[in-house]
Amino acid sequence: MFTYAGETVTGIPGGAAPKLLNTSYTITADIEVPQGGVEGIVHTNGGRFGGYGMYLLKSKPVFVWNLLDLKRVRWESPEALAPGKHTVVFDFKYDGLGFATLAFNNTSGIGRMGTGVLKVDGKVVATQTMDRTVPLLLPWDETFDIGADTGTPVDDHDYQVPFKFTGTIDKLTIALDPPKLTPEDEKKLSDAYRAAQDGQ
Amino acid sequence: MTTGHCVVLCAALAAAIVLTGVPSFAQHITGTPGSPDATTTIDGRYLPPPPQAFRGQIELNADRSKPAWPMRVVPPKGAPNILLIMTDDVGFAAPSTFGGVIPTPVLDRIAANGLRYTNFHSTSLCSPTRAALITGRNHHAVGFGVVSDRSTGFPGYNSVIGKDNATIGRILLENGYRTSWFGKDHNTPEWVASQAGPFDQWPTGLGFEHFYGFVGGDTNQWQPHLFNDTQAIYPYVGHPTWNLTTAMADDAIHWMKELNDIDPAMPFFLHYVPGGTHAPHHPTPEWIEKIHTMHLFDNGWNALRDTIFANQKKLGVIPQDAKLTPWPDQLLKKWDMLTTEEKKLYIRQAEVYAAYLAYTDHEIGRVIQAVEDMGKLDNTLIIYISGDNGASAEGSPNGTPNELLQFNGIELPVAEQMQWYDAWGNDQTYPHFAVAWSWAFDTPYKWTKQIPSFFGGTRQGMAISWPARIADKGGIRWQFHHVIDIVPTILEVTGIPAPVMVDGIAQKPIDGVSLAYAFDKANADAPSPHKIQYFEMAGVQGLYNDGWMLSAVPVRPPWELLGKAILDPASAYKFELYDVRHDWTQYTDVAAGDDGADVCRVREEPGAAAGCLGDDARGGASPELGGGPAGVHLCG
Repeated sequence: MFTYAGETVTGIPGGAAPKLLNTSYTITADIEVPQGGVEGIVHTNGGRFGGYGMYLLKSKPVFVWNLLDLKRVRWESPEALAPGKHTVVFDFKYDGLGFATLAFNNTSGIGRMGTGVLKVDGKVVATQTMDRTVPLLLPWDETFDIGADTGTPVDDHDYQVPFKFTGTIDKLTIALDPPKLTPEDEKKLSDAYRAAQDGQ
Repeated sequence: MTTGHCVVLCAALAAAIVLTGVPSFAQHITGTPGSPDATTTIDGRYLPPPPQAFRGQIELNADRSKPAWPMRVVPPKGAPNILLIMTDDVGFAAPSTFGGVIPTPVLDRIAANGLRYTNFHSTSLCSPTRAALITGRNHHAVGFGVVSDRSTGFPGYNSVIGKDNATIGRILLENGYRTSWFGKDHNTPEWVASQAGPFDQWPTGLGFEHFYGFVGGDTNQWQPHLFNDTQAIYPYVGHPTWNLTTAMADDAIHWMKELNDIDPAMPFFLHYVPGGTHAPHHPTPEWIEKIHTMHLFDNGWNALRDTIFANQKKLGVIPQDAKLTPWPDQLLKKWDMLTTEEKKLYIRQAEVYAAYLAYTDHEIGRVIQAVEDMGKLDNTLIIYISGDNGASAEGSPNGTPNELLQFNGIELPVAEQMQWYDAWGNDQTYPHFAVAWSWAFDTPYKWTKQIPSFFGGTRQGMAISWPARIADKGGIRWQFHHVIDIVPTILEVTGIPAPVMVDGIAQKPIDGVSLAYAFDKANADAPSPHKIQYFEMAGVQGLYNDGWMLSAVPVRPPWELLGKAILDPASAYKFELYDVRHDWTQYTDVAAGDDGADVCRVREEPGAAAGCLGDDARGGASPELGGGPAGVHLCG
């Protein structure tokens, strides 16, 4: 669990940021919308060449996964947020065994599908399934940012950097729930590993 | 004491003197000690120098007391200013200076005004070469057996340079230089690269007083992740034509000019390491247009190799009897097998790359021009290393509009890449060329970046000028050398000793040897003092020993980034042996020959520390192999 106070913090490099690849996770943002509406970045990591972002466009919560500039998957609330306090959640369930398979010289756990749900104040507003996800790396020259974006935007059609958040972020949390190998998974992977060695 | 003891003791003393290379120290003072303008050299063996004793006199009344200021520390008289320049991912044969077709007039100018080194080597990868360059030690000795992005928690691989390896920045700083670093820093561990620090392994913590650049393997040149010292800055916002390649030259020029305006007597050291020409290839549209009109690549990569090879012989940067190694038919397509669309895309990729190299070289030229404009070129040592490793084969066989695709194991077909044809090089792309170009840019050698056992991965062009000292202008030097030799060279020419202790921490010995002897024409043909050198990267090993090169044959090409792990690196490789005294390009493997050369022979030389190439998957992690001055068991 990573907790951020909502201060505008930009430029956290990959080596010091939560790693959202090949795992289930939940991003929870407690925000305040001022009178007259809100826009800007709540949280992003990555940019034009890959990454994700949670932001508000004309007061509507949006979440975008940019799959290496080949495809963008988008979750968007049909409703604009009213002024006041809200909780926006992006909840992602990853359907794979994750990085752990690499220890068995096996890449089957990475880059798999998963389903994301965007919720506003506890209510589901958008659901999308990604057939594939980014398997290994987000852009190393982009950063983990809260309250503004640096580098390049995850979707040029939506905004340009820094796209500073015009409301208040009270708190942002990121909870990771990485897949765990069951004893059966481990046995299967070990058997495959041995078979591959025998085959050499 | 018996005679035997004496022999041992005397030999040890002699060895210590030879190894440390410390001249007897004589403090040199200018001006009147205590006056504000007095200067002094220091005994540089222990850094930082201790505080100076007060030389004045203190009475009860200030008017009757005699003030005395500490003397400013300066390097030995005549020590030059230093520009240490190194470009990124540039194959030996890319620049015009070493037979390439891409115009690099600035590198040409340094070579014409000084010397060209044709037998100079990197480690075959970015961070390792860079760590070795600034410390004078082998990459495993300074925590960089591999790039920082792939560091692991083992000695030699943890991406921590270590306080027992003070950088040349720190050494020069303590000896009175003003020091700075511009461009790429691929030697800060990833986990300290945030604003939480600590910053002791950032350039400013490693002895460089000013840093303007990026931390990591590469960055977008249009919208970089950029730092001024340790503060992130975003000068590109609202300025769509802003490019880091130009901006870092501007910052370097500003830094030098400001220093010169305030105190022209201050000697300076610039470590100038632009992102060019690592991917993303991000030159300005003007440079792309300029190169496009030259039609350098229309005849493809095979014809390009022939052109380059002929140029190299004409220039004399390879021996006249050097052979052009064969095209790797099993790995890479020949140009005449390609479709029209493939050719069109690949030509565009190469043109954008060439534009990036020409642009990078041009901006380096502005920095050098600034030195000349200050009237300081004569006593400035300029070391311009063309590339930190061979040309990069990390762009997939088809090239890629977005390098991140390749690092995630995704190869885009040519037809799909065509949608970025016009955009190639602008900020909508993060591009890299097709693998076959890298092989051509490493002409006449085999292999590419990442491969330490063949010169395609390790041989770098280098030019050095220093008008006050190097008289053999336009000369060529053939002696074997390596990036670890640059620090000892700088120390020799400045007259500054390698410190034995820094901040109370004993320093590891410097592995390299100075190449300054070859500045003199009289030594143009002197044998190289660099007799032995290991090479190791990701389990692939090479060993140079006085004209022979033992080379592991890669089992997986560098562009297969997601291949299966090699389970037993110690036994996975076949070794080849080359007599590079007579076979400049590693053309003929003599491992099985009948001339007495046997890969598995054991060479032992007196006093040698023995390591075994066969018993450690990480090879060079054995310090004996790294620092040993003499023999090594080639096979146990």
